[in-house]
Amino acid sequence: MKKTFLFAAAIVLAAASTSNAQFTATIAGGPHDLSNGSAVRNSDAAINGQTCVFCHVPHGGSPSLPLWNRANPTGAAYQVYASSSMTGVATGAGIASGISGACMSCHDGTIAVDVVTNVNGLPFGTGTTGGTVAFTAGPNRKGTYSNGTGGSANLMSGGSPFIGSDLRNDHPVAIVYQTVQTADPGHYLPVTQVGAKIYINGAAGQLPLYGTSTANATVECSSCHDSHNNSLNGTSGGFLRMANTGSQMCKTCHNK
Amino acid sequence: MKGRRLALLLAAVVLATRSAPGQVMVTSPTNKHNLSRSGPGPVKSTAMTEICIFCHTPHNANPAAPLWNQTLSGVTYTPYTSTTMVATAGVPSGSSKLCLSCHDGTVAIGSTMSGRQIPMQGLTGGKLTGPSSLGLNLSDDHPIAFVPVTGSQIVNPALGSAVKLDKNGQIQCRTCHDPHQMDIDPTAKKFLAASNSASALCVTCHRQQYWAANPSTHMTSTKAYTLTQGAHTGYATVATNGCESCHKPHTAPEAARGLKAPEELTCGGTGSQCHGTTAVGRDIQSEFLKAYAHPTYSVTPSVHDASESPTNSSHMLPEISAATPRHAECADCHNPHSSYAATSVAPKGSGKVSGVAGVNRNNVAVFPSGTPPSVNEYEICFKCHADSANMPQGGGAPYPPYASRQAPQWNKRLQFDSTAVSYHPIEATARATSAPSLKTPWTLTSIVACTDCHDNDTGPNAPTPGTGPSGPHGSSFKHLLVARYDMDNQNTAESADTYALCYKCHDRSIILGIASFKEHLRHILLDNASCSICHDPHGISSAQGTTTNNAHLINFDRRFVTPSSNGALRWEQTSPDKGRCYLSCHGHSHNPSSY
Repeated sequence: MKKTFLFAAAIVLAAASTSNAQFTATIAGGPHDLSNGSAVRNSDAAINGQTCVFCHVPHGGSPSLPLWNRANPTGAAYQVYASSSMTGVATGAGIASGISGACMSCHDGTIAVDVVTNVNGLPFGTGTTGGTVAFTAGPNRKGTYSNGTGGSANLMSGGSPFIGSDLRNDHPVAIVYQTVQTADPGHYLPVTQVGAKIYINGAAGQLPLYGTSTANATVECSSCHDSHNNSLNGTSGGFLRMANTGSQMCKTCHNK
Repeated sequence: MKGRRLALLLAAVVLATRSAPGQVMVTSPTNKHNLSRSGPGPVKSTAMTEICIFCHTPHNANPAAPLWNQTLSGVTYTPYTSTTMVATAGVPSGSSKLCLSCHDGTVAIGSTMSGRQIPMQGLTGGKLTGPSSLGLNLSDDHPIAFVPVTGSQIVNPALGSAVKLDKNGQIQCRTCHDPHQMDIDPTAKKFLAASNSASALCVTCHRQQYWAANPSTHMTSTKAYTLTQGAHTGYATVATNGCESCHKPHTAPEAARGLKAPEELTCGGTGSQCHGTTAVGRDIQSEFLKAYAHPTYSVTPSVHDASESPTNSSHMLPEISAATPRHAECADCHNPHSSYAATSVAPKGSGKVSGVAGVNRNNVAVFPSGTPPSVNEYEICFKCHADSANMPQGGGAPYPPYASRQAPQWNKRLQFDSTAVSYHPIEATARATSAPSLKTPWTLTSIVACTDCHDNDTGPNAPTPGTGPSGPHGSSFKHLLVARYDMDNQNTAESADTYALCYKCHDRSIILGIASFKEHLRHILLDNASCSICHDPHGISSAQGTTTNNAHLINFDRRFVTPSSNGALRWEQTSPDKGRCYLSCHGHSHNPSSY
């Protein structure tokens, strides 16, 4: 029994020692593992190896869904994508208050990654004045960080994970998919709803939309990205929900 | 159960919407814009498995819309210009800028916004070359980046058309091309946004006057015009090639108006399969190789400008400068968008010269009307043969030799005017009250056309009709005459042949008899005098003659006729069929001679 455990641990260690260690199916060891992961990691003893706490908290979250441990940005400064052929409508406030706002709370660079609402063992705070934890940049980090307000040195400010407030050159989010699909059914695959689950059923798999009905379900960051799983796109990572071979993820919605 | 039914329904919808027949989507393994390693090549990546990524990225795109990923060019282009374009082509913008980021051949394909170069194959130096690379010179490509100036001949695409202007109402590459769909037109290909059979795509915007209304023979001809004959579209007839029988929207050899060759060579040059010597249509080029021809092929480069018109200030006809090179290009007499087989009664021009403007008897611009939509034929001739400042006869040595008339006049408009003293009935019926020599169907009230005398000697208008094309393109006879007419010698032996031109309408036996001028026999037959020595075939203007001296087209050729021993040189009509001459000719002084 003990031997088996040791063997398993050896595998884990071996795997962790390779350069592909960040392409994990769990938070642990991946770029989103801020406790001891591959990108940035905290060096605060109070965290003590926790992985969920940087995003989630069982009590006192803000906003309450999904038990969020960070303040959502206001989105006031967001500049949204627009094109002459787009029929969907996105607003900065819509993005910030929706599910994509959770992602943007780190990736727009307005709230330091180390500012969380509620960390066990640290003073309880709210919003950007909440508890802070110290971070160390890891060798695999793709983002760059700069000093922000509140004494933090951990505002995301560059690199590929950094989105910023200018969303004009990013795929639109917080747009109602059905609006787009109805306007141009030849170029978009139809929406499927089974129970509470709303998704696009593409040839290579499903991509989720977020809402209570097909009429209001929106495309969000999480439609393409699974923030908990960085293994679905092989060693290309990017937290994509599937490998994009043959642009199959794009084709899940786009009929081109 | 219900769920399964729904799923089946959805699957059916998916299948129905995925692709229409003849379309190859960009993600297809056969679409040339699929540059992934599984694409058809030859230009494709050696490693990249994604397809959209060559053009699009979900993050950090430039320009933002449409999430562009290929590094843009930073070059300056030479835009299209032409004297007939009302709008002005702009600096490439919108979708055109995106397309040119590969298709100008200056940026490596796969050069993405992330700074990463996608490894490619099938390229030279990583960049696009060959016909797909337009380079920096866009002057030979259909103009882009401008708002069309709509009018009777340019309309905007209808809402919902596959041919579309951009959000600013500008025409861009995307107007005609859909980069995501390869074979919407499976024959022409080229990622066209709609079928261009019979130029259906072109005519979405271009409504050339007369083209569809007549319709032009160039629109309807089902004659073969294939790749081996010079067609570049894949279509195989004149009609299905449509505009592109003559025009080329990209890399056109004649940049302005996108012609396939300098003007007359588009119509029928050496090797041309249209109106050349190995022709699909009528062989017109051979006509211009005859001894006497309009200077269409002999003037190179072509000096005609398509904007020429009686009302165009920069390219005016009649010419206002003697220094302007003389020319007669195809388009001076023909409108290729209008030409068709409709016949007409003189003086009205036929369908073949329909759609062409002219200059009327008052030297005022006149435009086509009626059916066929034409001006009077002589009004086309007047553009160059009436008031043009560059007529060679005004100075210099005329070619070929011309009669030296007592009352010289080269302005045909003045010679044929209804107020002229005497004239062949081009504009108005003749002044003569008697013309016994006229052959059927000619009468005193007939109107003749310039082309009754000046036309193809082997065409249908010749005294003995031939099978060649009609029209004054060229003739084996001087002055581009439809038949022989000897006039440059003191002595010409009369025969049916030497004056075949005149005898086409004027009965030889009556001319040589006594019913008209009874001395004709002596002059023409016995004294070997050409008709031309006494008669000016065109007319004598009102300012230069009198009905007493110049009726019956009397206007002596001074090369052969000199004053009498008393110094007089004139003919006088004394009654309708009597008169007298004061002159010397063939060594004999008439001082006067009366009849």
